[in-house]
Amino acid sequence: MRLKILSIATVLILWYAAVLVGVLALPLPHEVAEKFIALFFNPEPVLGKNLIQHSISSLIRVISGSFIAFFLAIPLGILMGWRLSVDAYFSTMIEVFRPIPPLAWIPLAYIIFAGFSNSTQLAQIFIVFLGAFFPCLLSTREFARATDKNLIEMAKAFRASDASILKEVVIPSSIPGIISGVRIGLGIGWMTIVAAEMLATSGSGLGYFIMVMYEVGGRVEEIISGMAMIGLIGYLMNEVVILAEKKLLRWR
Amino acid sequence: MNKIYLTVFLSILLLGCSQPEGIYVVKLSPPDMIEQFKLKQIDGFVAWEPFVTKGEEFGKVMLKSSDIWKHHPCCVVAHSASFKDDDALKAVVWAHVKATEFIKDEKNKEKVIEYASEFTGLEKNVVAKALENIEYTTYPNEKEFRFYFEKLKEYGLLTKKLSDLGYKSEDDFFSDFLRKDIIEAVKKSEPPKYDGKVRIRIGYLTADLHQLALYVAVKEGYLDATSLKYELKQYKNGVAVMEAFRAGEIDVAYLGGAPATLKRVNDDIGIRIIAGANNEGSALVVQNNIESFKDLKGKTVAIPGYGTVQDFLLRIAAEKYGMKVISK
Amino acid sequence: MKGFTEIMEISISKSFNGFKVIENISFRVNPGEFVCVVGKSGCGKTTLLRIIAGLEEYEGEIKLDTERIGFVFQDDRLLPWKTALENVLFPIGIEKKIEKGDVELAKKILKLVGLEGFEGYYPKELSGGMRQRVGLARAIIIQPDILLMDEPFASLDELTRQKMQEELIQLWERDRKTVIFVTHSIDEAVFLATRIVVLTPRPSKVAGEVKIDLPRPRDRTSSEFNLYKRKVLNLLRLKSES
Repeated sequence: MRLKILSIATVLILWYAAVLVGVLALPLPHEVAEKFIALFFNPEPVLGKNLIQHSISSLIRVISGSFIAFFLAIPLGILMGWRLSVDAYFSTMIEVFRPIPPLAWIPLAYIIFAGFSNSTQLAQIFIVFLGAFFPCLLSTREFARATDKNLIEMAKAFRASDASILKEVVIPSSIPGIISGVRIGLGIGWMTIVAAEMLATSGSGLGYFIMVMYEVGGRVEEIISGMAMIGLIGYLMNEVVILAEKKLLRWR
Repeated sequence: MNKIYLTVFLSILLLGCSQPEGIYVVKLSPPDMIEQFKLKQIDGFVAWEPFVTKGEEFGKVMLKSSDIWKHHPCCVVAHSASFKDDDALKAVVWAHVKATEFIKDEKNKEKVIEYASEFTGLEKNVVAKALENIEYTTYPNEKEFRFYFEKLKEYGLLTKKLSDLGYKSEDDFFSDFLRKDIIEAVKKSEPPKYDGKVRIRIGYLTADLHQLALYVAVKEGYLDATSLKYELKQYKNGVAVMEAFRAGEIDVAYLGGAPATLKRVNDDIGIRIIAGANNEGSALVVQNNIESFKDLKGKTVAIPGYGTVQDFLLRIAAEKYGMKVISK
Repeated sequence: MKGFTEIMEISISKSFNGFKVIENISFRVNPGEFVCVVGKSGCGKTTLLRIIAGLEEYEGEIKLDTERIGFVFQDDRLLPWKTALENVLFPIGIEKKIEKGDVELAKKILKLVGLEGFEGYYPKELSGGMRQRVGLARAIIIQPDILLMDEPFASLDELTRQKMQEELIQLWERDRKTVIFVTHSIDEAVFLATRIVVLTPRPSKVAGEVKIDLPRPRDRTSSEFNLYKRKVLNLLRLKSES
C-alpha cells in the first residue's frame, strides 16, 4: 500500500516539477483534478455530456465487443487445445488474421457494416471484438493444450466419455487461461475502442471526447481528464478480473 | 450478483434514452457524411461544396448557407507569424488574387471546371454545379468574421480571453489577425518579382474545392511568374494545418476560417490571415422525406466539427425554429 | 461387496514400434485374491495394468467378466480443482448426476481411509499419503469387482508406506475385493499378497508364481517372511541371469 501511494506521488511530483520548470507546457495536476471532478458530474459544454456518460458509451461498446469475442474464443480455444485436428484446421486461418492490428480493420469494418442500421456502433464493436478475440483464444488454447495427459488417462481408466473428459478435466484445466485471456482481451478491447472512437465518429465515448476537445483546442485539462478516466476504468476492469480470478482459482 | 448487472444495464439504457428532444448532431468528416447519408444513417448534414452537390444525389438541399448567414466566412489564406518575409507573402497573395480573378471570369468557365475536376477528382457535372454555389473572394468579410467570433464566445468554445493572448481589445486582436497590408500592396502592382532566397512551404487541404485558387495559381503559372520557389504540402483538415503551423512545417496555408480562429485563440498558435479564399458555399442537405426544418426534431444531422462555421449554421437555423442542438 | 464370480485369465503380448515389450504374460486370478505382480523396473508391469484397464492395445486375450474396474495410480492423479470429497465423487459424476446418497457414501469411504475432516481440502493442501488415500477412495467408491493398483505407495516415505500397506490389508480383509497390485518391492509384495506373480525383464513373461501362506497380520521380520522374500528374489535373479 505504501509503495502504491509512493508510486502515484512520484508521477505527480515529476509532473509538477516538469511544468514548473517549464519542460512541459501542461496544466498542473491539481488544476486537472479540479476539471476532472467537475466533468465527472457536470456536462462539458461542447458535447453536452459528462465523463460518466462518455465512459458508459465506451464501456457498452467494449463489453458487447469483448463478450462476443469471449463467447466464441473460449469454446474454440478449448476445442483447439484439446483436439489437434481442430487446431490444425483453424490455426492457419487465425495466424493469418491475428497479425492485422484491429485498427487496420476500421475502414473495412465500415464497409462491411454499412448496410446495417447503426453501422458506426457495429463497426466499433467489431473492432473491439477483433482486439479481444485473439488474446483470449490463444491463452485458452494454451492452457487447454497443457491439460495434464495423466489426468485425461485417469478419467479414461474410469471409463469417462469424451464429453465428461472435456467437462471435468479439459475445461477446468483451461480456466486459468480463460481468465487471463479475458483480462488481456478486455485490456486490449479497451485500448482499441478508445482509438477507434478517435479515428471515426461515434458521437460519444471517451476517445471521441478527447479528440473533439483537441480539435476545438485549448482544452488540455479536458484531454487529460479523459485520459485519466480511460486509465481509471482500465485499472478497475483489471482489478475486477483479478478479484474473480482469486475467487475462482482457490485451488491453485 | 446477476441482479446488480441487470440494474446497471437497465440504468445504462435509461441514461441512453432519456435525452431531451432536439436535433442530434454528430461530427463526421465530409466524405463520411456522404457515405452515411447515402445509407440513411444520418438524416442530414451541413457541409461545403462539392459535398453538397454530392449529397443532392441522395437527398435535397434544405437551406443554403446564404439563407442562414449571408457572406459567412469560409476558407482563408494565413501565414505563420514567425514567417517575416513579406515579399514572399506578397508573391503568394498576388498569385492567389490572379487565380481568383481567373476563376471568376466567365470566359474561363470550361477551363475552371476542368481544373476543379482534376483538383477534386470529381466528375465535371458535379463540380460545375458545385462551383455555382461558391463565392470566390480575395479577402474575408471582417464583419462576418467578427460575428463568427461572437458565436464562438456565445457557445463557450473559447477557453482563452484575448487579454491572455496580449491583446487590449477585440479591435486590437482583429487588426492583427486580419492582416490587410499585403493584399493592399499587391492590388496596385504588377507581378512582384521575388528575389529572396526563401523557398516557401504552402499547406492546403486535400481536394477542397474552396481552395481551387491555389491549384489554378500553380497550373496557370501565376506562382512561377513571381519567381518565388515553393513547395506544396497536403493536409487532411484544418486542425492538421494548424498543427503544422505550430510545428513550423509550413509558412503559409489555405484553411478554414474556423479552425484558424479557434486554434489561434485556444492554443495560441501564432498565425495571421492575409487573404480570403471564398465565402458561403455550404448548405444543409437532408433526406427526401424531411419536409421542413421542424421535421429534424429527434433526427441526426452531421457537422464537420464543433465550433466550425457549419456547426453555427446549424445552431443559428435551429435557434430560429426554437429548437436545440444536442450532441448525440 | 463381492468380487467377480468367474476366474480371470490373462494371456497377452505387446509390442512398441516393433519391439516386443511383453513376450507372453499369462496367469490367472481367482476372485477375492490379492495378487502382487513383481518385476524389475521397465519390465512392463505398468503396461500390463494399463492393458487390463483398457487403456492400451494388446495382442492376446483377457477373460474378464466385469467392467467395474478401479484404478489407483502411482502418482495420485487427483483433479487439483476438486476437493478431496469431489475427487472421490469423480467416477460417479461422470456416469450420472451426483445424489445425496453418493455424497454420504463418499464421506463414509473417506472416513474409512482415515480422512475424516479433510473432505473440503484441495489436493495441494494434503500430504502425499493423504492424496494417495483419496486416490484409493476414488477407486473403491465405484465398488469395483477388481482393483488395479500401480505402485501406489512408491513415492511415500518408508513409515507412511508401511502404515498404508497395513490399512490397505485391513480394507481388503473387510470385503475381499480382487486386487492386482504392481510393485517392485519384494517386501511389499510378500506383506500384501495372497499370491505373487514374478515377471522377467523385457520382453517379459511370467518367471514363476509364489503362493504366500502366512497368517495376518504378517511380521516382516519373521524367518518365514524372509524365506518368501528369498524365494521371490531367486525367481527374479534366475531369470535375469539366463
